[in-house]
Amino acid sequence: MTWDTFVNVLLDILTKQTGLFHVNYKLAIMWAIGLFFIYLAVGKKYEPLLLLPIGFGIFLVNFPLTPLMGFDAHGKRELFNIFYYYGVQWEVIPCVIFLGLGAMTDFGPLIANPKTLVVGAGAQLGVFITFLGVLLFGFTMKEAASVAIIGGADGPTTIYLTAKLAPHLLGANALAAYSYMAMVPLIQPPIMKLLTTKEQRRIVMKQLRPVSKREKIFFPLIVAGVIALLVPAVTPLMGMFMLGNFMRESGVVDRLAGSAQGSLMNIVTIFLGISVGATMQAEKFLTAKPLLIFGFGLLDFAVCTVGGILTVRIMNVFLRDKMNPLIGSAGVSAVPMAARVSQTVGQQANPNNFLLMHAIGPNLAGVIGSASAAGMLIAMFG
Amino acid sequence: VPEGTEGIAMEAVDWGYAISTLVIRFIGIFIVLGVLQVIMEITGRVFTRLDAKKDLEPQKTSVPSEALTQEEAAVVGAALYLYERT
Repeated sequence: MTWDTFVNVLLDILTKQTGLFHVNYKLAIMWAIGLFFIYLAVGKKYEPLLLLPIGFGIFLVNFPLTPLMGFDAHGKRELFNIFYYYGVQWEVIPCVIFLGLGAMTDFGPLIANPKTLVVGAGAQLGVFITFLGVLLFGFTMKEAASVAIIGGADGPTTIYLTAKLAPHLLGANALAAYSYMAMVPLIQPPIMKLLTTKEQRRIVMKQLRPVSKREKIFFPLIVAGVIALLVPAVTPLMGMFMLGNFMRESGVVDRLAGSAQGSLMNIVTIFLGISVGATMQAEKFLTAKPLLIFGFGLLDFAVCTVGGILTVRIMNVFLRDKMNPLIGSAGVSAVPMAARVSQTVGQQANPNNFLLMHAIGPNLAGVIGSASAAGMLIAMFG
Repeated sequence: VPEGTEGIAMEAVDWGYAISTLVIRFIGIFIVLGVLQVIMEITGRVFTRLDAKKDLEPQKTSVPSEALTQEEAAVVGAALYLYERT
């Protein structure tokens, strides 16, 4: 073997079998983005369960020649592509996550005060305003719908809708949704204070009535029935949500409810995070659209918060027992973070006021509301 | 929106259609959650009433008075009398 042959073989190996000669500035930017989200998850503890696998997925998938998101020589999907295809594109993972969420949710505060369901509807205002705003920037209708749902502050719903209408925006939409959900304590308080007087923030709400076991058992059946009848497009998501809750409340399948909210939920969360991160490859992600999505996502959250608070204020005109408008902001979902924000801001005005349980009602109503909004957008464009 | 046109950007957007359908659907969410609210209010009242009725029902005692014979009742009465005197 001559020296030239040796050098040629070595160069061939280095260029074709390693990523060394394929690194470019776009990939470096994506590594930085991946590491940034890993930092948010680990250093700041912002939604770590999702942002950690997403960040790692972004980091890993943006190394050249990695057999992760493509197809091999035999046309077989590579590892992350399998997770993405069967988990997200087939719309399995968001529904399974909703099953787990249902199994861990106590709807008692919402059942005790059903009026708060309307607050969950009012808090979807931003979804529709953002839709129009996004259209102005040249997004297609399907893309606009998928961006608009970010304000619903519901990760699985955002992923479900985006996978259906605009899968190429999945990474940006999911990241914007989870990032802003984690930043609810920063985004909402200034808006809450701006839209309420100190007197209104001091309103002490009537204590919630106790809810019987029977009511809690009937609730998921009623919600599943009504949603399936009125917004059938979102039945896979809401049906699983209510199945999980029914398993919990029936009390006869504790093992199943435990698995749904424990190991099953954890397993699919890993696959979801990796899949979302893996969709963010440099050539697809580094465009103006993700920046616009992050900008509109923030606007969306703000308008949804405004919508929730204004809905409570309008309702108060007709109600004898006034509601504290601060619980309106919890209508954006982001369970239970948004409810905690209502409690914190309420206590700043009146340290003896405990709004948490009252705010959980609109918080849960927001989940149903954002799923309904998603269903309506799917019915429009799906 | 005619088939296939949803993928065309701004200049092809039918704004009249977009705005009117959005308004209808936003109201639709209020209707869906409003229907749920009404149903929950009704079922809540029904269940509260049923539970209240259940609470009002007389509690059954574990030892019915008919189970005691006259002699037994006399013995219990005497025992109580003696107990109170001591």
